[in-house]
Amino acid sequence: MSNNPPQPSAELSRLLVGFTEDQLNDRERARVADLLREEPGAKEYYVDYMVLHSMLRAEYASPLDLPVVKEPGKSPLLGFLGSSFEQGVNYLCQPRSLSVASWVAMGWATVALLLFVVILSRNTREDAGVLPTASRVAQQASIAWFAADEKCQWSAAENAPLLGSPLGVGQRFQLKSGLSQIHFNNGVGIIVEGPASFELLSSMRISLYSGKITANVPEAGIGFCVDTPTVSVIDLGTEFGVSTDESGATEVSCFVGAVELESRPEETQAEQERPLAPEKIVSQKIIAGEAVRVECPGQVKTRQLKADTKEFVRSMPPSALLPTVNVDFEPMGNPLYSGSGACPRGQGKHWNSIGLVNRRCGPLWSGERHIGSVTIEISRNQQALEPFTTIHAATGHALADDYIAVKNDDGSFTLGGLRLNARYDLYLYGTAGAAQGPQNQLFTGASEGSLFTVGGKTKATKGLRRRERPFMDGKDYVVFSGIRSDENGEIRGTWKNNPSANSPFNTNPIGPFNGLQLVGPLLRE
Amino acid sequence: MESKARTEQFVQLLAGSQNRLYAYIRTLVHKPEEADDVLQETNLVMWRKSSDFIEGTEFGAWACKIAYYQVMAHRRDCGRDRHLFDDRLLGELAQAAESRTVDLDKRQHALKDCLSQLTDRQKELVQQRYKTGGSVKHLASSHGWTPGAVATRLYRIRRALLNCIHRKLALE
Repeated sequence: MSNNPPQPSAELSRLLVGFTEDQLNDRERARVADLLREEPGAKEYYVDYMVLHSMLRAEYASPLDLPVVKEPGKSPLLGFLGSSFEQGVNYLCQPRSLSVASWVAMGWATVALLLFVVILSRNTREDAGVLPTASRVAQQASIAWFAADEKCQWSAAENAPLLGSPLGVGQRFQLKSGLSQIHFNNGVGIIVEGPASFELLSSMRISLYSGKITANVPEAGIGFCVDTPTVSVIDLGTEFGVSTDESGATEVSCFVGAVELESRPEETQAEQERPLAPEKIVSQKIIAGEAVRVECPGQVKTRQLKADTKEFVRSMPPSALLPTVNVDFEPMGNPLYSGSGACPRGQGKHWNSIGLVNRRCGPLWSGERHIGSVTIEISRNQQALEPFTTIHAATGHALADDYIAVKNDDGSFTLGGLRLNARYDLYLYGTAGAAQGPQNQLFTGASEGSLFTVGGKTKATKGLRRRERPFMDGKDYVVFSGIRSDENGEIRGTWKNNPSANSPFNTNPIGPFNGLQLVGPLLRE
Repeated sequence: MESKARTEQFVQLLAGSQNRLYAYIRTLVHKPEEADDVLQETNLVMWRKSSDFIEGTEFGAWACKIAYYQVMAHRRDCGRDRHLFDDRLLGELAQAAESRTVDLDKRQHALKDCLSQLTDRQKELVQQRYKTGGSVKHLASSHGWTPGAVATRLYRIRRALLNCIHRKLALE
């Protein structure tokens, strides 16, 4: 081996800075691939770099961080493993290195348990503190959804999003008038005031070509970026407004926290092909109460303004919000779920706790309002076992491991009392994953899921709920967007066990159903 | 009894290959959470196909082969438009990743030595980034830097570590 490791070009170096931190846009990522193909030694350097990245993760992350188990034996999986369970857990709770002798010293069931732990513990996210982008499905189809006020009008009717419908990467909009609110899946919310032209580049980046927006960024969205023709406004955890006119001149007002501005000088054709050296980028930080104006790309001269809070619309009128009904099934009377669930809605914090004694429930609440007409009916076909089962009733995590369940059969549900022929988004939760106790998340039937069918489409959940992370589409829940209610004002669906989600260690696989969220017009005409 | 011993041996091999498999998959799959998914699928497929593994053959090569097919399956599921690498580039990177991770234990050992040569501040930065739940965004927030500035500092440290590891391996 030579003493000189492969060295990357300055461009590849610059791109790799952001590569592992997921800070590159699509064009920059594509450029990485080009450089790997074209540049001598680049592939080797990239592989070494990524292997180092993984080694550092292995060095510092805690993949087998298993606290003490207090009540083993309550889950079907633990029962299956039998007495070896405690032996295995005791072993796992010791300071350890996974020596060969230690593995062999345990019974095979324990070894199987440890394997299971290894499989699941590998699910530790590199950026666990960051809300994940939604599932594969949602990544392709949806990074956000939108609401609007009554005056909202789009310039091109064919591009107008349906109220409450999902928005995807690369969608460009011309808002003619009124207000539009974009709710990104990571919790970032922006209000766009018409007339405005903008494009969704990712859940962390938009381009504002002209018009005014206000961005409200929670901790999970720190780094959210608004690009205008003259400047990039990078959030540092805050609320801010950006206004851009047709010439590209941009004013940025910071209301809360701080934002970083980066402005690039106008690039020649040659410079566009080679990324700009970092020292040529003008950057400036502004804090709450400050504002700046950038007339030209890369110009240093900015003039201080007083942050104009009145100039920007910072909250939508209440009438602009779509109503949501949230339902948490409570087969054994677990504590009511508290939180917004997977659907990032302002009204998402009020949950209906349903015991399903009669399997027909209503009326329900949406936000603070009583929705008189909406009902939910749950039924099952003949051979469904464990129709109302629960695990860890005392400590179980609502919407994760308290559920109704079917086995070897379909269950069905009907949402009734809806508007006739109206569009709804339906979030269905189906995971038998984590319980409150950190160890339970690893063992409680943790790779079970369900196949939900609504409107002729089937989507799958696949357990593995980790208590540390937010709900994930395709794992903990599925979302059916734009489902039309029928002429009776009903939406019907079924669910059953998802065989591909079953753990090889679980002899009693089931199809769990934890709860749902219904988004759309809930009051009848 | 024979079956039990074989199971234990298989689990032992599987557990011992986790770091290598993750490094291999992470090289080919851009998103960390997707790499986690692919690793999990790979583990399950290996478990189900454990009877296919021929004792005495190289477990790592067998595991990488299964992981490669799982990466391909993941790409198929995700849709072609989201692919960062085309099939040919992916194949070349997979080949390089398999050979570069054969001696992962040695590399990890060298890394430990190299980490000890960092300044305290550099060590702290790396540790905060890679500990469970750590992220550039959190680091930026806690240090009052921009995420870009944190990423640049981390990159410089990684580059120094790479050179250091390379020097150490060359001496062996």
